Amino acid sequence: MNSCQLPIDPSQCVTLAHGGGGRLTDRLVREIFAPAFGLDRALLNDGAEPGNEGWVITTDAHVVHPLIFPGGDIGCLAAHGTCNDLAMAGAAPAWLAVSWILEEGVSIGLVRRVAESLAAGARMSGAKVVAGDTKVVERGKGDGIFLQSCGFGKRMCAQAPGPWRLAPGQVLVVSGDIARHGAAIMSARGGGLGFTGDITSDCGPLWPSVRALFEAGIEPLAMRDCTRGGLATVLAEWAEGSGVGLVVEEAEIPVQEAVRGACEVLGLDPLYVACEGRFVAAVEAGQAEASVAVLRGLAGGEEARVIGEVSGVYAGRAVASQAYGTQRVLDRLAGEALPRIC
Amino acid sequence: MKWVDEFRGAAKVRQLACLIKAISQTPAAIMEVCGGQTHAILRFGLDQLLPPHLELLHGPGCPVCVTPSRVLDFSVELCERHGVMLCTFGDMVRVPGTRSDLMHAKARGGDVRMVYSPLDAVQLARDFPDREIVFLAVGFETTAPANAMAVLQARAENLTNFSMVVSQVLVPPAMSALLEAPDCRIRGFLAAGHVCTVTGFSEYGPLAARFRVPMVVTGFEPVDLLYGVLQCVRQIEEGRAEVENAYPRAVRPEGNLPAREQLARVFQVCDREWRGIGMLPRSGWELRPEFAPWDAEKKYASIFSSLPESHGEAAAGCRSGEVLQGRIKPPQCPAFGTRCTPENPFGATMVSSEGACAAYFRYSRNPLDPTLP
Repeated sequence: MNSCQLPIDPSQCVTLAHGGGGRLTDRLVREIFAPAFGLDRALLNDGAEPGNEGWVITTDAHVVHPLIFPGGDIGCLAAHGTCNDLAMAGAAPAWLAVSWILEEGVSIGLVRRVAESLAAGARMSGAKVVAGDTKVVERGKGDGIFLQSCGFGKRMCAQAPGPWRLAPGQVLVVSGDIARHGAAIMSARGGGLGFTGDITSDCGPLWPSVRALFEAGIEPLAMRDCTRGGLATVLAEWAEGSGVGLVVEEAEIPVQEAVRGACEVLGLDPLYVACEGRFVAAVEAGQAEASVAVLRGLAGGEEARVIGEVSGVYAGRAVASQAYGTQRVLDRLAGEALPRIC
Repeated sequence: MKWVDEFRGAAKVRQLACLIKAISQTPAAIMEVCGGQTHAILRFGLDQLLPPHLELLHGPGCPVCVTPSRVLDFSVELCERHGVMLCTFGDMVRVPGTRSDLMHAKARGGDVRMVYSPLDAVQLARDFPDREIVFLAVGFETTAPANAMAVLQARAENLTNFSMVVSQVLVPPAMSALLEAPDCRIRGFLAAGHVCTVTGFSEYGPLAARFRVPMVVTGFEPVDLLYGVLQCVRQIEEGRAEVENAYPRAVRPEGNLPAREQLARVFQVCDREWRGIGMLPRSGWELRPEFAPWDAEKKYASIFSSLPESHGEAAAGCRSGEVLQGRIKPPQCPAFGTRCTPENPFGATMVSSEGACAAYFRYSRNPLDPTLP
């Protein structure tokens, strides 16, 4: 893929698009971070399992604007974002360490609210904040509150899930309706768009869903939360990284009516809009229906459903089949549609 | 979603595709003028539903794509070196100028603000009376009424810290230029529905008659687009070359009269350079002389004149001009998808949400062809 691309020009500077979770982010990781740390990009996942005792470590930084949005705030976003990365590695979240970068002038009341929200969010995944650090930067050098978190968890499934385990015949399941977080942030930013506040973020914990699947004897082969870049970017990365083909039925992908409307007005494709409490999982075909039933039994999972399958054709591509019998390729998000959504 | 779902229904789309197949006998190339139509066609795969002898050519109707590099250089210069707050639609920030795009100008410290309406830029001028606010007013007839309104508001409130870089272009002169080309393959036009919402379609009659080409005013949803193709095919098969309105829920023959009146107060026709195509006579709008205080080209005349002139050229190795004229499809450009990608675009057609190269890159790379990136 992109073998003809020129390497990143070191005289260029970082732009907002490098933080979009799409191609440019990938290039930073692939060309700068992974080589610097001696890591294989193809094996990098949301969480890493460096030892052989099943402990998973992950880290996450949060720069969302606004700090409080419909359905959540930066505190619960940090808790869920970190715990969800662990859950996607099949790990039960246990401990979090959180660093606070506060801007001079931010209200103490807001810091308290965010701290309480962070603690409550962690509890929802069975995790506890056990360490932290506090730094303050001059007014104008931050944007209220930035959070940086690190999470530890213990893998609870026999084998670590990952895109390298994808194989034709497996089925793709999405855990709920997509694109709500991105749409909620956009409507909260307003900018004179005049949206009413009927879109709330899907920001929430994924470990309860993963645990319920494990308890039902279902161990997904790959899982990923559909954050920046949305469902399409996850599928494109999986297809590209594993060499399998992924085919989804676009009409089966659940999107709330208000979210579809907001995306339409903003010219966004819901498949590329972020969630903060939804994931896509590949399961064995025989477990697809049971998986959906388990997910639907949990809060926020009412819209869980089978959206497609791992295919023997279309090697390395993610493809959406449409109701007209036509197809389109799904790609990683290029550029930056919505800066600072998480 | 009311007013959208009705025009995306699978049954209606399939029915229209069947009708087109049943009626169409003559091999023909039909051009959709507007980049929004191009994206909808590729996003929904509508080209896959047409018989092989019907080809859709993608037209020049992407305002971002045809904005000359000098306009971008001017904008970059203003915000990076002259302290101007440069307001623009999001699409423009990644379009390469000669030296830089606005996104990198922003990363280097230039004050670039993405807005959804020119009136947001006027509001910034009210909010920051000590700053100079410049709005990058690009677009076809569709965006012109809001841009006109911004200037009228700024004048009414005497907001002297507001001005616009105007790069307005007009559709009919571009269609005419395409049809005049000796090797023109276009046998029918899907005229841009949103442009006609503003201007109506009286200008199109003489063009259809002169070049013997049917022109069907067409919307942007799958049902609208296939209905437009169907009407065009009908005319081709019956040997007619008329103007038809296949988008009557949005377009009246006379257009939007209050908007047209406002446009006439604010703008006058001028020659305009189209990136990738060249200079087209009487193909754009500029602010009338009485609005000179709000015309950034006049307000910052010395800066503008210090920049290298552009003559509609595209970057080296970029064939976006041929793409914009429907002469080649994006994958026929050797740079497509290899050296030129949305993250490293050679031309605006790879950047814009209405650009044909971006549409092909995003939706339509053949999923079974592993040689494509």
